[in-house]
Amino acid sequence: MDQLQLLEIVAAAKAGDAKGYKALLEEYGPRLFGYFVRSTGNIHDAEDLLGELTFRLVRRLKTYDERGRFDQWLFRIAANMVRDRIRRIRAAPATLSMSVEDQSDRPLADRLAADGPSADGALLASEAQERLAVALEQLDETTRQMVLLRYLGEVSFKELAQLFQCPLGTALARVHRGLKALRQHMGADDGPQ
Amino acid sequence: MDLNDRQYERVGRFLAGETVELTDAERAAAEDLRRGEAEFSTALQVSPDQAVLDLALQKAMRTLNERRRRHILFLRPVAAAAAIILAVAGWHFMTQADRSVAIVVEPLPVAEVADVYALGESDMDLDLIATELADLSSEVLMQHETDRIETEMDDLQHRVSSFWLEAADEWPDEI
Repeated sequence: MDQLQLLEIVAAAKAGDAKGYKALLEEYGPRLFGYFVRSTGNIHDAEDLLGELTFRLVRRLKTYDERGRFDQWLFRIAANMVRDRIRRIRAAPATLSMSVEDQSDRPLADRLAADGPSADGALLASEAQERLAVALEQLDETTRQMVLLRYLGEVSFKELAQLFQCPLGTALARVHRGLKALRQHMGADDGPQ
Repeated sequence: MDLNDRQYERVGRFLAGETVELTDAERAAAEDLRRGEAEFSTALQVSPDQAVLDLALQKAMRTLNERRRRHILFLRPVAAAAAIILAVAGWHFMTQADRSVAIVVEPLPVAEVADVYALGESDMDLDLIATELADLSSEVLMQHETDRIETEMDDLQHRVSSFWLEAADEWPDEI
């Protein structure tokens, strides 16, 4: 979707057109849902977060300034939601799990596939996806969030530094180290499929 | 070779489009970070089911409409009360017009204020109108209170002046 198309869709959505919102969700849905799934390790939490984000999108779109990048605006909201969710999980670790393994001890990739129409089972059940989920789980929370926001949200390094209140160099260092760790966990040769 | 944060900052500025002369190691890091986008941006995505998206959107629209309707229902009596306050304050000023108090507010008809609320397109509009009405009514009341005190002070001063002038007139000629 080019910038002009995006602005037209945003304008339609701002005018209250449900088709505009639908187009935005279809465009950014896979990236947002990927971010939520990878952040929570739980597809049901991810669906909840996607629903909540949709509500916030509908409610707040009027505050979006077209001069800024839409995906960065959207992912900033998503990042704040995930941060709140992580805080709640830390406060009540027994009720929610951030682990790749859920209560049924099935790997995330299997659950994504087995949870039926919620995700593209064929893709997510692949071994590479499972290794990616496990590799992400090995990263510390901040690094994982930075990597996900950078590579799913296309959030700039400058924006990452602002979001995580750290110097620009630190943001880059963390993302780069995270990237190297992901490659190492997944096997340097084959990488993600 | 691992870079330090200072070197990474130079890489960051370079990736942001600034003109920065990078060393070989810094350039390699910049390329590696770019390569990561190609490697991981698609792999990390997870497509939600269309039904999940549709449901999320329907729910969001329904919740928003419901909240807006509740907001309007809640704010209508508030708007009516604000309009009554304005009307009373306006009437009070009018009755005191002969005491040189400026009338600064024209009372709004209740129905008109309620219509403005009904026309508000979002929670933000409604909040804005409510805030403005509240500010206006408090300003009117404050203005009224200030004017009343000033009028009383003027009156008192006038009576004091009159007393001395009257007293001087009554003094006996022989003094």
